[in-house]
Amino acid sequence: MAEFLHMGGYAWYVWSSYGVVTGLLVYHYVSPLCKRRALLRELSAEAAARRDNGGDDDGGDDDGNTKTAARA
Amino acid sequence: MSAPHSSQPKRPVSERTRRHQFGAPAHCYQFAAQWAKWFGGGALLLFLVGAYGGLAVAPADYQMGHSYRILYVHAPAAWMSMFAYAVMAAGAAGGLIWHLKLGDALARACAPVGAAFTVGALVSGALWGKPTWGAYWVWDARLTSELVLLFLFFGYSALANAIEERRTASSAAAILALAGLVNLPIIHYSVEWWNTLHQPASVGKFGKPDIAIQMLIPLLIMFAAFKLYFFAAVLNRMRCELLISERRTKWVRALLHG
Repeated sequence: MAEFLHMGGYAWYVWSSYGVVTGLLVYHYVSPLCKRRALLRELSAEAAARRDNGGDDDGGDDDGNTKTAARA
Repeated sequence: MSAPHSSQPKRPVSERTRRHQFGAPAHCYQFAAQWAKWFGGGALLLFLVGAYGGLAVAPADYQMGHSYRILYVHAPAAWMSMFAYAVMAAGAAGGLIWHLKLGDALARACAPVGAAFTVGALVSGALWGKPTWGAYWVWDARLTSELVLLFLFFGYSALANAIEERRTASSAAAILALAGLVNLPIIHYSVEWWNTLHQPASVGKFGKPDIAIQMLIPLLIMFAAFKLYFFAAVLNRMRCELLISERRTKWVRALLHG
């Protein structure tokens, strides 16, 4: 086991490269999951604020069915 | 271009008409979650098998000793950095030319994932370069063109988020992404066009690869793992991008109230 970890004297180079790459991959898988939750909370808060202001008056694209949406 | 669906019958309500009602982005938001899980699970499994094979099973290299094991994360990261760029440019082109909302979302999702692969390739390459060449960094054609790729990913993200109006921002960034495509063949052929320290590819040439089979199998498994990972990470990120760009649509509002 110690010999395996030693990597023939290249331990620092081998393990740090695996560590850096694995860390990057894990981060970029998990971060959008967290970001999506934060976004949903933020959008819900905005929607609640709009309702409190007495209605849906922001003039947004409400039907979600524009020509581009249909073709996309 | 004329409307491609104008010849479609109005009834009965088919899957296709349903997609018209809610739009492709809503559709994509739903199925992306399922696919991301499958791709992510497959990637994790293959990564563990490939890393075990590369670190423990494959024999040491007769010249580089155990340092060559960096190959198993370095080469897939470098390869996927270029693949991510190509997918990003394709998405950006779809958004720019055909106004595909999914194209813009795809391109925006690829940029950070591609940048991560590029950083992984550069850092693992530096850590391999030190014991092999005696320096963490040299201004070699392969290394320099890969560094340019990183700046292209950063440039795309910066531009896509710099302009307030999101569609305009996507279009401006798409032009940068398409112009930057010229860097991909430069990276690929850099080891042939210039005298470089970086060794040419051992796998992927026509004919027999210049690598022993026990060394090759873990590498192929890692390639597959990184590819599945890429799709999983991009799908997760696309969901965020779609929520932002579609925040005013009915389906996002239904999602929030439901």
